[in-house]
Amino acid sequence: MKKHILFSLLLALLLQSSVYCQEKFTISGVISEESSNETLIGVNILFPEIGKGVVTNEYGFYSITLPQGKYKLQISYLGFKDHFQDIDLTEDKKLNIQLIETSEMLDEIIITEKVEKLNIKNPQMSINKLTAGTIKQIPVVLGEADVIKSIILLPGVTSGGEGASGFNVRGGAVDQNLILLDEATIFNSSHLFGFFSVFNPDAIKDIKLYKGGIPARYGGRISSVLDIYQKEGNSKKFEMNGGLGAVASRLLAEGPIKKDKGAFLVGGRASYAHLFLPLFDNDNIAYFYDLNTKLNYKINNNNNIYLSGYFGRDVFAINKVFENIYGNTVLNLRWNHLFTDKLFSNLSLIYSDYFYGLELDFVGFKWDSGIRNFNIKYDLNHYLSDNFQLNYGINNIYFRFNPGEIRPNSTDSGIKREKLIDKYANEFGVYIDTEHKVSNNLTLQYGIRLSNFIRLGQDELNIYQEDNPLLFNDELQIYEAIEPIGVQNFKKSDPIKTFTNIEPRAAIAYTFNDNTSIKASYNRMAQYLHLLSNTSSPTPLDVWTPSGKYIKPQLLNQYAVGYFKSINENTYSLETEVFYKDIKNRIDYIDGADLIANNAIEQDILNGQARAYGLEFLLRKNEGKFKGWLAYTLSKSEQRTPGRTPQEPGINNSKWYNTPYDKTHDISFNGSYEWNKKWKFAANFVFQTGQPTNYPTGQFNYQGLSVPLFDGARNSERLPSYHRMDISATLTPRKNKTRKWQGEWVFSIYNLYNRRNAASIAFTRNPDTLVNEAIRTSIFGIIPAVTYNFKF
Amino acid sequence: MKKTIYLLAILFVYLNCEDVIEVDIPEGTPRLVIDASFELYLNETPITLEGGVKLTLSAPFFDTEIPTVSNANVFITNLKNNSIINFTESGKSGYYTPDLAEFIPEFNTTYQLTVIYDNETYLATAQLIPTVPIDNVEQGDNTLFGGDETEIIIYFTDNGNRNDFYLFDFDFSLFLASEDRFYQGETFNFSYFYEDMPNNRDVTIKILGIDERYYNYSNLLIEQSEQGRGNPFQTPPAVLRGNIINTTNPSNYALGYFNISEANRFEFTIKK
Repeated sequence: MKKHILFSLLLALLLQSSVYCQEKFTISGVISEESSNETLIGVNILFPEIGKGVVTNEYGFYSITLPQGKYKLQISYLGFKDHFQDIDLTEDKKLNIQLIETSEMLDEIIITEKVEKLNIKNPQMSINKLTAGTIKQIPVVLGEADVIKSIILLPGVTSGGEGASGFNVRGGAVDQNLILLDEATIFNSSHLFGFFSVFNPDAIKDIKLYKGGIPARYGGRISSVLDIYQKEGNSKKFEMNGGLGAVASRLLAEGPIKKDKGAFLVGGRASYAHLFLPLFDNDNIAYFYDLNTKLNYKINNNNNIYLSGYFGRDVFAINKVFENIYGNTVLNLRWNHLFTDKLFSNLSLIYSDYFYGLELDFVGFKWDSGIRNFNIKYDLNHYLSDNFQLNYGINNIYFRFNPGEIRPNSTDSGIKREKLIDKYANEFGVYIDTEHKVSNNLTLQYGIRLSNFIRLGQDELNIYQEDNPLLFNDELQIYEAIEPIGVQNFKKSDPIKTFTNIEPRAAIAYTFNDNTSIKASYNRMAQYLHLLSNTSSPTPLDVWTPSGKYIKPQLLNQYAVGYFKSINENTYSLETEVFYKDIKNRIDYIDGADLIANNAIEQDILNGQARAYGLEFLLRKNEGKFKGWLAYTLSKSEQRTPGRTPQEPGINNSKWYNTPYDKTHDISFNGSYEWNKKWKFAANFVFQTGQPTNYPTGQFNYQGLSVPLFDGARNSERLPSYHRMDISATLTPRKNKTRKWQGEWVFSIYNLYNRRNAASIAFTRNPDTLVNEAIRTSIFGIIPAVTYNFKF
Repeated sequence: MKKTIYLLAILFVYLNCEDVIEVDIPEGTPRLVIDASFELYLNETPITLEGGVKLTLSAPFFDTEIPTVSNANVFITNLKNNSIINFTESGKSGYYTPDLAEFIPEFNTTYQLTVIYDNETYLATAQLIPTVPIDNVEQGDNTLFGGDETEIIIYFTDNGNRNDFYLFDFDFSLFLASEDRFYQGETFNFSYFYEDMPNNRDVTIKILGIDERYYNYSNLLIEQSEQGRGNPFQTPPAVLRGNIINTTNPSNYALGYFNISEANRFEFTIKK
């Protein structure tokens, strides 16, 4: 029945569009960079006289169908010179165009009014784009350009501060972000507990963050989509670039395999060993490295193949008693095929895994865990007419979860091998999405995704009396685990539990004039995987677990409305949005839940709900010597975990409580100023309401321990407000112009006024004075850094 | 396994700085705290029972004085034969010890602790939980981070016929709770690290047999007391409910625990 609806919808849309298909011809092609043949994403192809246009997709492809006639064509892309061309459209045309970077010319970047007009009309809202160039200009800690640190400056995006992994979007949890690197899912986006993100900024081409109105082609996570595309490699000439920094260095090489046909890219990045532990002269090491590789080959005009890979690891070792290695591996083969000049397809075969390994010599054990998945994706862009585009596709992911294996690390260890039961699952999605220009003022985007999740058979699934794994002890007022009454073994092919969800998505944009529009969107999404974490910020050893018999998928509804205005011919732009979202089946953990090596997580969780709402405001200055933005977010994020019966208190007596990532106010400013060709300056300012936390309401003594007593409402107190300012100066020596070697110095100061932002406050007894104290832990004070970047 | 998080945390703490700050904190109502953990040394001659019932009140967090409770009625009932062991306050204020010198708890017998204070009755039950001997304690030469830790290696042999939970007491109010899940029936050893330990310091290391509920309680207690300090990967602090019930007024619950453990101890001298 559900599939029926989908097909009728598709059919109706096809019929509707075919009516218009007479006396029309198609212009299609690929837009790329002149210097490297690197394809460009999101380029505006405009026909200003008739107010029509199209945008290139993730592979630089565009297609538009127009009535026979003569047109003026204009192609605009930020950072590139505008391209103008007259076109006499009397037949279908292939038009591959190469744009020239403005930085190679000496002019200012020019963005015409027409470019933004299209964005004003695009119903896609709640989206932020950043180019690698912007990210590199933002001053960050220790001088290392960083993707995630940059997106935290956008409205609606916050983080737990220094040393907190990941990021939170619109009051959502870290595990609710879908992070895609060349279409492959990345499970852990942080190096060194969040000091750095796993993305090498040199290898990145384009970043999009969807916070709402998420198109139907994305599924599986409910808060946001961070869609990152890596560069393909220069197929014109061999090039190297890199940087020497205070904590890490990077080197990237790219060049043609066959000129104008194929290219390779290899990039590596590594931090220095002993990075954070230089004060102690013993064998402690802490470092990370990652490797990005990419090959692409253009078989002919209609076929391209891409092979890309990512490998990253964090390594900690302490004096031979503690060793910890973790990281992501991604391998990805993609094939772009053009069926007709109106129908573009991409087939992706993706393998990705996350590995976590730990060795504790002082207890004599080794611990390995991980998640592995195989992903097939087939996406099609169907450019039916100048006002109607269809995107549709399927996606199937097979998961294998290894929740952990414990082994003795030597023969004299008393540890017995224990393998936590592997879990298997399959996630399938099919979607159709339209971009529909109803009139010059009204544009719609609507679609639907059907998602299906099967928890596949495993060994030894715990079975409980009345399926209840958790008991509330009424006398002692605590939750306690119930012993399973037995285990059930399933064949791998037997589903334990199946979930199917219909996820409608819709967005509308109404333009009042060339400069003003309002947009509204709705999206429903389902998330079948959950990161088990009850700490205030995720740790690398948190384990992903699939929905199943005892954990239900998280279901989200999000509504957003926005007002968009470009001011003074788009010198400035203003974006304001309000959003509301509610989430069903957000789990929380009973007091004292130990999630590590837990084979029966159902004994430690309670089902609940979450909601978040807020207002976002973004004022940008897009051109001139001074560029930048000011973002403000006012929001609330809370959750509720009620008891299962009226007698049970649930968590926080079944009342709503702040999520650990509820930040009432979030202000960020980013600005850059180009003083002259030699010097460029940039600054950030960030202010966030302090993270919710818990303060003790008293203390008591037990067995000589002084124990703080927490019986207030959960997360009702806050850490002090977080704020800091960073500045940077970039020096580009004048002699660059005349030589092949291009160098640049970046001087930066992080946390300029040395604010000691609290990462946590511990309430504890001073072991020497035996007096209770509140101890603030802060991570970074003022940090100056110098980085040298080069290119040749 | 909780230790792992601490290790990550310790690593983390070395990257940053800590300072003492002023914080305005809310003030809760004072509650009765019943600290009643008994250790029975069956492998020693004579067999001895250590421990008593310590009654205090919870206090505002930054107070330096913890009020003791002197005017309470304390007794333990052997529910097998309904015999009663009366406790009286002796010597130290708020510290109640058995009147009967020869109170020796037995296995498979439920004991009920009764505390009557301020016209309210508090009850808790416990059974004697068995333990195993400490085979040996050695000093090792590994260190963790700063280099001034002292490593000791504890050897013991788990009983393969039952699921055990242990509480290790390393003296100086340093505790570690452990379950035998990963070393069921094995001869097992692990290292423990003391900080800033002087030469020739005598320490007593104890292994207590505990039940699962007390194991969970101990883990929470250890995590929330000073041993979890400076951990940025904090779990939301729990309301520490022990096994004591206020039968007169359930919402005015008491803190603390009534526990009876078989215990073994090992005397050891730290050498630098």
